[in-house]
Amino acid sequence: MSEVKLTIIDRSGETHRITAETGEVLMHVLRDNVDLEIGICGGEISCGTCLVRLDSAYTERIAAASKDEAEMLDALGAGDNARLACQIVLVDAEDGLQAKIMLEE
Amino acid sequence: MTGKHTALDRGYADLPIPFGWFAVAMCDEIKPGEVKTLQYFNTEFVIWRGENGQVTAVDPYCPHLGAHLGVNSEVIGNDLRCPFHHWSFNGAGAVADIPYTKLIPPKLKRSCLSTWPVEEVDGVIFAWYHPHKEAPKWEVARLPKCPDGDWVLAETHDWVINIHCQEITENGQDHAHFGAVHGVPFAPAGEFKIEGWVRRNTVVAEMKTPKGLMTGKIDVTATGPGQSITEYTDVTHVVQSQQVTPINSEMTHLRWQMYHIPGLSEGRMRVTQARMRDLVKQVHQDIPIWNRKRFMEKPQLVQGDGPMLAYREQYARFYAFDSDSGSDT
Repeated sequence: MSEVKLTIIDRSGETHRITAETGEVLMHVLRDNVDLEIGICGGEISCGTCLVRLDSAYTERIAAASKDEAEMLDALGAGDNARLACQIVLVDAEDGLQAKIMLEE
Repeated sequence: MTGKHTALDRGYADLPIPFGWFAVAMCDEIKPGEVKTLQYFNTEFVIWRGENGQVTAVDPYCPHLGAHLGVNSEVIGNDLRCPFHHWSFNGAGAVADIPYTKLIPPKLKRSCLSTWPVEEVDGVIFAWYHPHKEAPKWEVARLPKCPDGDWVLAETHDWVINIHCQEITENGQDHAHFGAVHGVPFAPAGEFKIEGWVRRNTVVAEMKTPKGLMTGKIDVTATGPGQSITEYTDVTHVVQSQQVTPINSEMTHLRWQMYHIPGLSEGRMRVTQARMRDLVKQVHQDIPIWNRKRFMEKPQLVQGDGPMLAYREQYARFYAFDSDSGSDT
């Protein structure tokens, strides 16, 4: 397990610098540090509240979206480098991870 | 106190519920826009009829937050709306509407609520029960072709009986009870055949009529554990369509619809009504015995009893719940 530095931009544009650990699920980190209403379905790919846009370098390091996630991203009209944070297990990244929380309230 | 393993244990609680098509309601009992909770197969399910006339049966609990879909729910158009958060489900068990969300998740637009196969045949709603939710293995049987025009539905009856459904349909193979219970002269040996999921009995007998002896024929076709259709062809022509449906292992809902050919003369109508009355009288003679008897796993059968063990051998296939066994070959 090692540390990952996260730079999170929330819905109001405010930046949060968080240190997380590899192996953690990104949605849990966002929920506990940024907004308790992120990930309300608990990771069932049904609420879309944990939709984030990642930097492209990080996207390449993590596993591709499953069929269910891809369908949900499509339904959300999410675009490039967008992912559901509940499906992202944090991995090592030299430059850390920058993620923007996308879904509007 | 269930009486289990005591002298009064009737043995039915240990028998499984067979798979098959079973009558769960008459068609006119579920009108468009109506929703009902039905208790059969030691479980329950919710059934509704949409405005388009289509009947759907689903498991009882909403996959969202668990409300019972038979309590204060409503049929909206063709869909069933849950009372708790107004999610609507269509006939495929998929979410058709969630009034407060911007996005219905794609996976909920596929089926997320388990449905039961249902068929409406000859005025009866049938549901396919299988404990592992396997797909139907045969088709619901239909009335035989009426020789002239359409069958006339004369009477319907139903009874709830304290017995496992296997025992009710075993009665037809129990030759010796016809004399003892019903006082009918000993039935001449008929033809008894088992073909896959179907069981047939054909009895041809000389019958006394006011016009002298005539040949009468009784044809029984039982399809699966839930359906028996009996055709009586003699001076009159009557069809008795019977369904047995397990409420649980110890209780059975028995339904009859009795039909005759159209255009009967007054005299033949009297004979027809007498025949139907006699059949009802006979079941009223059976019911007190059924309500209190026990299951005899190894009955002491003697010559003249009838092919009850051959019947049970076929019946065992309706308990073969793994898909590899009991295939129709």
